[in-house]
Amino acid sequence: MSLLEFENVTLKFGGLTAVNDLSFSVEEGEVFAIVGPNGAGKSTVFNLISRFYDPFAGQIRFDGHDLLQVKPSGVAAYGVARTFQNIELFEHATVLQNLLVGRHRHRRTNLLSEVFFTRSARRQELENREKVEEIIDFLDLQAYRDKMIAGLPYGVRKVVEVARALATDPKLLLLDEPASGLSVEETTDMRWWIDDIRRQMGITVLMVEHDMGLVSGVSDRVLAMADGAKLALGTPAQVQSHPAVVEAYLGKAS
Amino acid sequence: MPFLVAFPLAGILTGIAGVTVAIPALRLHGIYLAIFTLALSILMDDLIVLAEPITGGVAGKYMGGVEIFGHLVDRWGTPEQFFWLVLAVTVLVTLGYINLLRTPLGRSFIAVRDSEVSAQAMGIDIARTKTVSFALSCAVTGWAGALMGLYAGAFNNESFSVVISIQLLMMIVIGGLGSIHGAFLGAIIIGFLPQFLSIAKENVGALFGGSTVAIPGLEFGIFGMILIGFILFEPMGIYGRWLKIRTWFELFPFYRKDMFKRQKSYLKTERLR
Repeated sequence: MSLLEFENVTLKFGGLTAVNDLSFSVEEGEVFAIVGPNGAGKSTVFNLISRFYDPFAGQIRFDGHDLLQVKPSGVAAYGVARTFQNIELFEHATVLQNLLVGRHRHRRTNLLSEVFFTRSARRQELENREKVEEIIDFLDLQAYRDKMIAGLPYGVRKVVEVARALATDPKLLLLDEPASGLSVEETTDMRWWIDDIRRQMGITVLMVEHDMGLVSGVSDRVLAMADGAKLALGTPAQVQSHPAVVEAYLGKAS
Repeated sequence: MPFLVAFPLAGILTGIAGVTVAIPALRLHGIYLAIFTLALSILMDDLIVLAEPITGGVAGKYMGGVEIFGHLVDRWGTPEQFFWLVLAVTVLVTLGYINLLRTPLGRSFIAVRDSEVSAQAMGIDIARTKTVSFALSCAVTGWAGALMGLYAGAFNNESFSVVISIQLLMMIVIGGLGSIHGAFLGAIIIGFLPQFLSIAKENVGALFGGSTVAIPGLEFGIFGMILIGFILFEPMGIYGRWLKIRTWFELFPFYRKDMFKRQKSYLKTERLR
């Protein structure tokens, strides 16, 4: 059974069909990339998984569960974490606090035990901190631990967002353009991190990305989309040489 | 009912009231939420008059001293005891808040404040979090109200008027929104301001060879100007100013002017909603 399955999913905004009868599945342990020109519906696919939109038709299943029965705040509980295209961090909190929010889905305490900071709340906080420190070490964020997000450079924020998603201990990590706006060095770092996330942590990665160097470097399979529909699906090399993909990017040869 | 039972109940009941208010309020944001709560507080005035059998209506209720573990706490008779009672409650509530801020619930408040979309993606139930925050602040206000009743001795529908709401709002805006330090700084300043003003008025009067300056409404005018000044020049309040000064020294010489700017651009994924 696949980890994530899209089955004939269609989403319309008024007259615009954002996602058109899309089917694909992501297998456990792979890095799966979605590419396509602007407005192809790549981010919409992510927002469908996050349950921000209700599809018009079709099925979305994650790990055997029907995702369409889950409310937006319930998706994380199944082990889906994500980043956003235009970074959505908690601006007026420190890096550490941001990562600790990522631990929210593992909360076992309630209001009273937290107000009185009981033994169980203390133990939980120690565990959370330990987990978060592991991720800080993994992504080399030590220098920024107690800094406010509002004062951080763009490249660091991008990494903090990945760190926050990892803090939730996900099975599936959704990366929405992890390399957009990054320098060449930062993109290379991101490439190794994505590789490590898959190999060391055993997390399946689904990403939307424009940087074909990064896509062909890390992904096992690539889905090319245009106008909300599937163009091609296969290895990076297959997709890049697929005639429909070339046409979508460069136009038809006349 | 003994005070030690009645006092916690005051908080619990107002907390429950807060939950019922939160349910319709969940759909509102920003200024509309402010208008809604303000309207409720005006409505409350009439409700107290209408519920005369319980509240005593316009005539109000009277409250003498209370006894806690054999100590008489009476504002007029034993003011020191009253001070210790208020201090104890303040310390306990503050400790509770400090604990809250270092545990998941407090962090989820911060998360919902800064980005609802990503809070949701982290598994935080927005509606629930907002309801809990309403209930909590209502419960603490209930305790404050109970202490205020004890302080005033007599209270009716006009004791808890909208003026108090505005004063509390001023405290938090001047002190610094969203921080425990700010609440204390604001309370100290708003608490001392009337005394400071009357001393200043006498001195200014003496300067011109007369007695005290008597301009009706001067206090409210100055209060208002201070509030406007803070909103225009330091929306993060005194505590925010302190944070900026601290960051300036920490990062010297790399401090940037827009470091604390609240970013609310259309580019953010918030347009999803």
